[in-house]
Amino acid sequence: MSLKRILAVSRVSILELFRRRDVYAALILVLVLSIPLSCINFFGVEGIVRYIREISLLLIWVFSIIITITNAARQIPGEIQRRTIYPLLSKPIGRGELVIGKFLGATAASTGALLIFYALFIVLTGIKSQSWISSALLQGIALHVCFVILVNAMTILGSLLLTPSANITCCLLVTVGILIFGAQLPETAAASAAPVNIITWVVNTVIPHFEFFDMRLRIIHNRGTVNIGVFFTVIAYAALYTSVFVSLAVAVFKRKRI
Amino acid sequence: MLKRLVTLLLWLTALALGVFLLQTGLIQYQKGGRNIIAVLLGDTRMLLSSKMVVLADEYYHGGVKHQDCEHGLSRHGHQKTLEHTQDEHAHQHTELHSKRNNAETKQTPEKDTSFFIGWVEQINKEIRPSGHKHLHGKRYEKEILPWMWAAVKASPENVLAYQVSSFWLADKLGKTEQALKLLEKGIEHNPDSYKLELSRAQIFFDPLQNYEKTLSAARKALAKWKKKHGGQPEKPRSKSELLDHQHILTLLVESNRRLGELQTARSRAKQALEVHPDNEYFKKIFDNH
Repeated sequence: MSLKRILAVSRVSILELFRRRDVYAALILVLVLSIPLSCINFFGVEGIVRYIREISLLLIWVFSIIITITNAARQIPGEIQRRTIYPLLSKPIGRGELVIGKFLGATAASTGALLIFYALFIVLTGIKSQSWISSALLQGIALHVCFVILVNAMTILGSLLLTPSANITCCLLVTVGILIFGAQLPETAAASAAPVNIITWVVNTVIPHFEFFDMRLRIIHNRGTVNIGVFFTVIAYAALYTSVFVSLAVAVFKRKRI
Repeated sequence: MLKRLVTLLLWLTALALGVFLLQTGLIQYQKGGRNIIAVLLGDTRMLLSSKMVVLADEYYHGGVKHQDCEHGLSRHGHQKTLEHTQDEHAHQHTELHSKRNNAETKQTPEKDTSFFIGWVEQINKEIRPSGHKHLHGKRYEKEILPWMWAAVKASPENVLAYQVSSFWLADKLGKTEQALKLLEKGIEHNPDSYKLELSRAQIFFDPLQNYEKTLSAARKALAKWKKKHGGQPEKPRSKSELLDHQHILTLLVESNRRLGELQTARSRAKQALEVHPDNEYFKKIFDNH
């Protein structure tokens, strides 16, 4: 595997995202929704900030999920559809390198968009509250980046198994579903009788727990940082699942008939 | 280039219009006595409004769900504990909660103690804040206001939203004028509600210490209370309604007493004792004056 070739492939993916203007549309939407909300006068009381954090972070999460999944889902299928995959593979580049390059490109692009969102968030809430960056926010951003990487890997794998629209739908449902219900699975498994508890236990064990990466409540309510051990465990968890998804994607793409 | 400029200009116009509408209150445009939100949402407004109150309660508890606790926002008489952090104070209801937790543990089936499930729970507990804290201090207590504001806007018929908002504004943030304005709006939308008149009377009594206005508001509250119960205070209702009745009478008697109208205070206390014979305060006023 050559790093140079992988980076060359990923550079194209980054350019593609910013050329498609999805990010700009999302950015403008975040601004259009957040700025008027931050200007509302609540009973003449100034300096209220937590609701802005809540709404802005929700928007950032929603748009990051949409941008990540839609961008990653069209990386390889797009090349196949446009038939640009053939000249690409005729070059001295392996299929594994192509998948990893596409994954890295999609990840860099989504992460770039995410960081722009967070920069806006910091400015918006900083102006309101006069407090800019907290360590909890930095941890939150780091975990959100891990989430984006993980979702990218999952979607790239999905894009090799399903049609683009089916992949986008499935990835959106799985991601949002796990974010909402993931934390309740252990309780459900413990409270149910067989065979429901066994099924829930298997699901709970196999799925990537995306809710681990959601530190919004801590950021909104100034609840401080996550224990450093847990923080690094979650990062390692993301790394493990990402490498599994990317390895599977490489394996599938190597056997795929184009 | 021109196309992009026009698009940008359109977005900016939309943004400016949004800010303008929210600031000027034009979005509250009235049509046949119902505003735009009312027309769009219908009866779901009340549900939405109640959800906003719950959200405010979660904010009060530092992001932790706590609507079923005895001392939530809907219960005004909350006691602060001594264990403070910089901005919030920790919760000290260990006895109540431990009892509850014990009861829950007994009811739930045997817990699965498998390593992975335990590990997932541990991580989630660390990532999501647990163990609720209360907002403490004007700088932080104001954080619940957006949701109370939204609750009032979502459904002007939600009396609880007005009560909690006005209590918060007057008692916690010292914004009595704003609280009274809000209550007046609430009374406009809910002319039969004795609770809003009672909240108004309470603000006049304390912190404003304007006993004349307290008397006037409390009289209105009593009249509305009687109207609601067909003028038969001896045949009530729920415990909270009886407590409200007692509260109104206490404000009347105490305002009379503080204005030096001792005979009126005594006769009111005598009347009050007919409905609340065990009330020590009314007994004391009746005996001493």
